[in-house]
Amino acid sequence: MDKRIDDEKSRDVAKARSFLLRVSVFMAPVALLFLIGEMLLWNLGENQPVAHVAAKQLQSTKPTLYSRNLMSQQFGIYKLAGIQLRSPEILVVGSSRVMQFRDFMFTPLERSFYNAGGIIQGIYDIESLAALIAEGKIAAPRLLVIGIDPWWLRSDDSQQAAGIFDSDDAYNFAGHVKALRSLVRRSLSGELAEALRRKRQSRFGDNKLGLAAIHSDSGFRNDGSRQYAREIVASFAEIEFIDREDPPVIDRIRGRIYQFAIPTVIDDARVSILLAAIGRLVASGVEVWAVMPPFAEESLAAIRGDAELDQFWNDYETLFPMLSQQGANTISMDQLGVHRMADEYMIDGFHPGEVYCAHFVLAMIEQAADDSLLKRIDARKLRQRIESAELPLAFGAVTD
Amino acid sequence: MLFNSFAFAIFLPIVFLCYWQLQCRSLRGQNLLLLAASYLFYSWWDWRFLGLIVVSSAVDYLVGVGLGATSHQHRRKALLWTSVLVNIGILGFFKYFGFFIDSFAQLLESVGVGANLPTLRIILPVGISFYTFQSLSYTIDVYRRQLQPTRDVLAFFAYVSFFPQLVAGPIERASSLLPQFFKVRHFDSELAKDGLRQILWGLVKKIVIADNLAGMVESIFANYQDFGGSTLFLGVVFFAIQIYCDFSGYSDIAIGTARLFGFELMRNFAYPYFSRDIGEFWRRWHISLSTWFRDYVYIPLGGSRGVSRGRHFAVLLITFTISGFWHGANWTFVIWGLLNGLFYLPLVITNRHKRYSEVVAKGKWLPNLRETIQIAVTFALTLIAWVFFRADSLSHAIGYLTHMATTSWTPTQWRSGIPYVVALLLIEWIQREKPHALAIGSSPLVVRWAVYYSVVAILFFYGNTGHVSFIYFQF
Repeated sequence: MDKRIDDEKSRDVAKARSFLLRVSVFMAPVALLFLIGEMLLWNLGENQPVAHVAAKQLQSTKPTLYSRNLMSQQFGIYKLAGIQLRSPEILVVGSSRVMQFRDFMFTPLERSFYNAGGIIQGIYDIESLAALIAEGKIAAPRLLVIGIDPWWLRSDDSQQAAGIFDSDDAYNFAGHVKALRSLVRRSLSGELAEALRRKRQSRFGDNKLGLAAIHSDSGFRNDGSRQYAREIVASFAEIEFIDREDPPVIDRIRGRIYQFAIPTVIDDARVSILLAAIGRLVASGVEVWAVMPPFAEESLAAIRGDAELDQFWNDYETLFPMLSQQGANTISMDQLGVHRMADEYMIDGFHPGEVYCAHFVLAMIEQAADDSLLKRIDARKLRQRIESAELPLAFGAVTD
Repeated sequence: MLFNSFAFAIFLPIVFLCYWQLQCRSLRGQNLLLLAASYLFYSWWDWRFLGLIVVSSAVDYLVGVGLGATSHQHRRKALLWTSVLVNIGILGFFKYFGFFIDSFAQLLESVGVGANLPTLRIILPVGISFYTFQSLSYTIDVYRRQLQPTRDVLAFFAYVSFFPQLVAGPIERASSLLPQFFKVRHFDSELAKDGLRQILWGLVKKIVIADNLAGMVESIFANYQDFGGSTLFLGVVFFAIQIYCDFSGYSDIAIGTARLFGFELMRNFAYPYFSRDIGEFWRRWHISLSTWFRDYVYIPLGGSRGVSRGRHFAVLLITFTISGFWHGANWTFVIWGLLNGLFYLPLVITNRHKRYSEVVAKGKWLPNLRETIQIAVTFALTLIAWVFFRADSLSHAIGYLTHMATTSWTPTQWRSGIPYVVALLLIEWIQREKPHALAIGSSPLVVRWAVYYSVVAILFFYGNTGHVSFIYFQF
């Protein structure tokens, strides 16, 4: 009797194992396709963790361009990883509107520079960053340039955050599934084959990570600044201002959408948060420069032509004296004076190009106190560089 | 741990392999493994609330032992009440404390008495409504002498916390599930294969249909004032399908998973949207809960036998209302339950509530006109009730229904959800005589594998990767 039961049990174990084997055989092709896809994604630099990419960019002596497209971009955690790995003395933070500040503008301190543009998408991100610095979780920079966008101060609860505390999609199964799904679709459209061909031919070679970087030569350089290749190449043909944002900034203003959506009223609570965060940074011994990134003339005129937006803009400008009271150095478009640039120096309605940003740096140097780190920057060299710029939008060739 | 997570995809084969490896060793070893796996499964969400499952299990185990040791009626009753008070007490505190305090405060305010009553921010432990009911069914059955009390503490604890159905049912009866922990389980390849098929179909319903409709439903219900009648109608249809796919998808995965371990769980859904009246709908929707309320609330309150018609109707409405309240601490659920009771009542009055037991249009391709109208009317009634179920408040529900009835029916922008609804109804209609829609065990191997790979491809390409939680986790 016992033997019969034991036999039955043994048969159960054998049947269960055989069942699992059959399921494994069924799943093998699926797993294989998954693996091939993952290898392709790795080769393209799409599923590499952002911290890994940031480390690679830090260690690489060659220019390395990074911009993933199949997985979500996650600027916040990528830039935070860059800051943590480098502990830069000169740090630029803000939205995409400050991404054109580059290391060579700060010669001879270029190796101490990092552009974390994109790490801040709203007022709460500034608060988080100030807390991280004050608590010593990231090393305090000596000089912090912070671009403040007016819409961060709108009382709008739907504002996005940069997600600096998010987990990397590269560690998330759903992130991989989404990336693989896009990969299959791009393969079917021939885009993948084109990307792989471009990767082989590119001057960046293996140092291009992410499909956007491979495909359009656009992405983040080693110093965190962003190369807008498509826009720069387009401006070679004819040097003129084109609002390349989609939808154009002028339409956003007129249609009161996106950053200019109603309500466009300054929220006092957000102003208080900003002032407290800046005060906290100054108290941590950081030389803070609060800057107002520029708008194209036509965008500014449209803002000024709308009564509510005009009032909003006036209120936004009153913020800067308050920031000064908190101990921050401030610089706005009006203060730029002779440096105010023509619109062809703008990538679109509200993104200044590299040369524009270089003028910002010059203005800061001129305005800086004698003991400021900015006074160590070679302004003469920067002026020479500005004068020899190939284009209003960029200092040199796309892969410079 | 969610069924639709990567963690579960790793967890399940490991537990499966270890479980059948233990087959040659001991039954207790297998039960111990299931208990450990179940506790790990639950702890993945929040280990601190594991204590509640342990308390509920321990109390009901001891009450069972006590009931077995005494025939003294007063003592037996006291023991039963201990079990009821502990289980309902846990449920009441975690689920209904805030609701009662808020409702009481509103009542006082309405009579002009402002009161600062204590409020606590209580987290609702996942699955609490399910495992407390399951555990309670044991003590009630033992009290009624319909079940022998067990002294096997391991089997009992494993029964209460059995991970496939721990957090969202089916709410198993002790008389059905507990004995399965006492005897040797044999691996049945056919059962396991069908279990996997049911898991696959459950995943499609959850990840592809329910989760993709969830965003649309959320947008339509949250901004209902901005939409016309046709969009609001579509919104509630989407919700009806979403909640069905979400919940029955969970049940399918639970039943399929249990089968991999040699357990049979009760069927929880039987194509409810093809019902010809509300009576049939309730025999096909959340069957384990409906029968629980029938056996442990409706019949003890008097049921239909030997009582006046008035009392019978009152008991019926009370049962439906309580079952609504079981779903959540909000008046919307109470009204949802009451509405279903009111829809059911005319059938009882005319003694037509048990007319349909077989599947509609059995053996035919299509229903006849009468059946089609019956199905449509029944579905429409459930839709009215679903508005209350989904709404945040009674005013939200009434506003939604009013807006739907009074605004123009223009073409809607939410048409992208329609293919999910049509595909589901079509597949389920074709398969309505089978236990689940992917029951294709009798088809040729090539067809089966082609279907499996197609389903995997559908999951891959159309699955929502947002890891949307199961709706019934909050109940």
